Amino acid sequence: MDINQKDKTYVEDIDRTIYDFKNEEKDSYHIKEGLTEEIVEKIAKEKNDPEWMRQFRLNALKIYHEKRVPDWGPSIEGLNIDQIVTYVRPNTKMSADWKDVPADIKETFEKLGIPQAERKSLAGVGAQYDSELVYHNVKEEVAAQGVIYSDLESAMHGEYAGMIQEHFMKLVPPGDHKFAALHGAVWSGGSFVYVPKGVEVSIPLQSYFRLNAKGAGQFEHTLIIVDEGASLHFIEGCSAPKYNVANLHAGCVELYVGKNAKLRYSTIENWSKNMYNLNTKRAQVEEGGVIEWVSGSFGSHVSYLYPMSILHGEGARMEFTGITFAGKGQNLDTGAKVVHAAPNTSSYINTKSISKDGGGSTFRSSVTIARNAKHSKAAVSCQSLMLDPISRSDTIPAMDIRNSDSDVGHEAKIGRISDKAVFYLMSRGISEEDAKAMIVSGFADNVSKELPLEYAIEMNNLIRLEMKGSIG
Amino acid sequence: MREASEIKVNYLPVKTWYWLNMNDSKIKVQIEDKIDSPFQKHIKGNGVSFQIKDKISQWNAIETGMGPDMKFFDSKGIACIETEDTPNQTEQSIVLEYKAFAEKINTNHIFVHAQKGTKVAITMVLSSEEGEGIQALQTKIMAEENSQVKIFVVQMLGKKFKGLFDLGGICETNAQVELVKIELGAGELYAGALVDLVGENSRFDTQIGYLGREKQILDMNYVARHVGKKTESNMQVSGVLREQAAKLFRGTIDFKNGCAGAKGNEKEDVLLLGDDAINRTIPLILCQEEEVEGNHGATIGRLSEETLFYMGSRGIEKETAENLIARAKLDTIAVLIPEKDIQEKIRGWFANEGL
Repeated sequence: MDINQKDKTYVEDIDRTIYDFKNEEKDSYHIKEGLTEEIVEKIAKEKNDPEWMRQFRLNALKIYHEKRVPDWGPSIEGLNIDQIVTYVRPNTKMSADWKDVPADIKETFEKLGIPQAERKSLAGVGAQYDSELVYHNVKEEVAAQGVIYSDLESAMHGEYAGMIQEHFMKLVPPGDHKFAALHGAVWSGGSFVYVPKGVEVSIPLQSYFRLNAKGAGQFEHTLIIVDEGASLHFIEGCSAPKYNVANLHAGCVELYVGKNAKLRYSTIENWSKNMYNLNTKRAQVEEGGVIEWVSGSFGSHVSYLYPMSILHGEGARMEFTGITFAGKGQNLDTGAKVVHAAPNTSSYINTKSISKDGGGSTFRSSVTIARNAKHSKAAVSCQSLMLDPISRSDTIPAMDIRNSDSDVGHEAKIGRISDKAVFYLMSRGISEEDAKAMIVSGFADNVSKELPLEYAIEMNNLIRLEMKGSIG
Repeated sequence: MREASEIKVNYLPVKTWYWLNMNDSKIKVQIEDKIDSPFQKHIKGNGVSFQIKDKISQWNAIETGMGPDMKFFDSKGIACIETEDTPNQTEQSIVLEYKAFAEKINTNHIFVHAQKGTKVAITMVLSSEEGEGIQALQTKIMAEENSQVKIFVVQMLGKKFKGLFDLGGICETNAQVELVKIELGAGELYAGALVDLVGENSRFDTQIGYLGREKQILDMNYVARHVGKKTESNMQVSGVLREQAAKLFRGTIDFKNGCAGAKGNEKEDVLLLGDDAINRTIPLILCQEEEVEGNHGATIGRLSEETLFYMGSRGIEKETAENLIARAKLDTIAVLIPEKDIQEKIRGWFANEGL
């Protein structure tokens, strides 16, 4: 069959209509756009920051001005920080009961399915609207186990103030890169989670971030500490309506996984296509601990997202499962990083990507094995599916191995689905259309099967696969 | 002697994080009077000519793997190897044996022009005097329609030498370029190759073998650029790192828009035998075309416990087993060199090094 004349597999674009609704901006406080010392001081004052945090912010601002904009990834020329509003406080206080949340904000989260999910299958929820949390609650039985799930700002003034000061932006210091420094200067909102020793939180906690204000940024900070022998599944979701000006998300996630503890961190990212998503996530894993990342990237105009894991203790383990879908107008640069810093550590990175309608997807990774990380194992697998000749898909995996006692494997594949695979299934009595559906569905399955059912459904709603003609 | 200049070579086609230090490599060189290192040539066949020319019209149009800074090593005289315009003749071959002068910057430039339907094989053996020095060798290839060019390189420079080996090529319709290289010597080795597969059905195959020992630095950049339809590239790189050797391999398969039906494969395997060896790898696939197949795979590691146990049970100690396996890896490349006497030279080198 002439490859130029085949019909192509058609994959429908992600249906955004359920996310693309805007509320009138009825915020109680809307800081001036731009980034100056005066603005940072105002944020610190609005938040009643302790002195150490106020100084931290100002120092981070200094670092921000010294750092250069990265030139190795997608262009962020369309982002002008001087036009971004870094702090928008909605006209409400945080509540632990949906009844007390203003109707329009509550309706927002109802449309997104958050309260329903909370009732059915979550141990606790934090809902952030623009720069502040509007709802935060944890189920009694989970709180009774000693689990702390609080907004970060309250926790900074309470019993865990010392723990937060000890950990805040130590894994991701402001000097790490320009947008970590920006985050350090203007962060607002986000959650603090502490799971005590030996406690297994059997149902997930969730944070959902909704950015409603036009031209605004969201800079939430998530800090999770899972103590020795404990386990937790944390889910993060986000969305925003589309505007014709840039919005910015420069959040930060810091995860500490204790000895023999386990943390699964799942994210469905569905920012609108005017969003610049410059997010930083990092985990440190102690002896015998496990970090599992599950990541679905579907939104944003430009994304820079590379969750990083530091395998700090002997026997620590990391697993990363991800899918990226880059459609029209999107340039999504995603991947993962892992540092093996102790013996007998292991990591597995498994990602898929789909590019269509001129979208650009880049898989970027690094595996570093330190000299003392003897007998470590690492494997990276990346598959990319191109659905038309106007899109782009790049794979840039790097490996840096510094001892002779470790084993590293890497494989990557790019292209279209094999006609032989379709023929094989058809020879087993499966119709051509069913065979195609089976193969393409399977391609996108690696992430959805790792999520709780409600999120898998949401993810499958995001990707509706329409098969037409022969495999493209 | 002028002050040292810094040149940048081996650019990654697409940048990545700076902290990885893989985007390019910097070399300090004293750019002073360059000389051509002497060589001996042996030509087999009447269908190929060898001339030294001052200028080649296509020279600047051919990009190379090490990048534009290699112009620092430009010198007078390019050795032009050109096949006669008689398609379907038997393969012509040339052997060039270079011996670089110590304490000098030795530069050599070769232009290979394979006319339509012709075949040529060029074997280059590079050695040097004892002592320090630089050998820079740049080869550019113009492979016309239906031609075949094979380049075999055996690099056995002295341990204190710096070697810079650069290659660029353009393949027209149905043309093939094959590069076989075995890197055994040099204290610092910088090697790059970039082939533009412009014509439909053109092809670039590379097989590289290397042995890194002591404090050797090996820095490589190989790029296959698929422009024409149904083009094909295969890169196989196999190496051994011992003691404190440090290696960086960049391998890129670049599918440009319009290269429908193209296939690119890249495979690297590295045997790590030194506790202080540093292995860095960055295999890229860049894709702007839907109808392609691109694959790469890398395996990096040590001799398995099972292999060592098996050898031990046959009375072979660990170090001997390591030498045997390392030798076997390099032998798979050495046997591809067509000249038996050169294969013997390689084996002699192995014996001298205790392999």
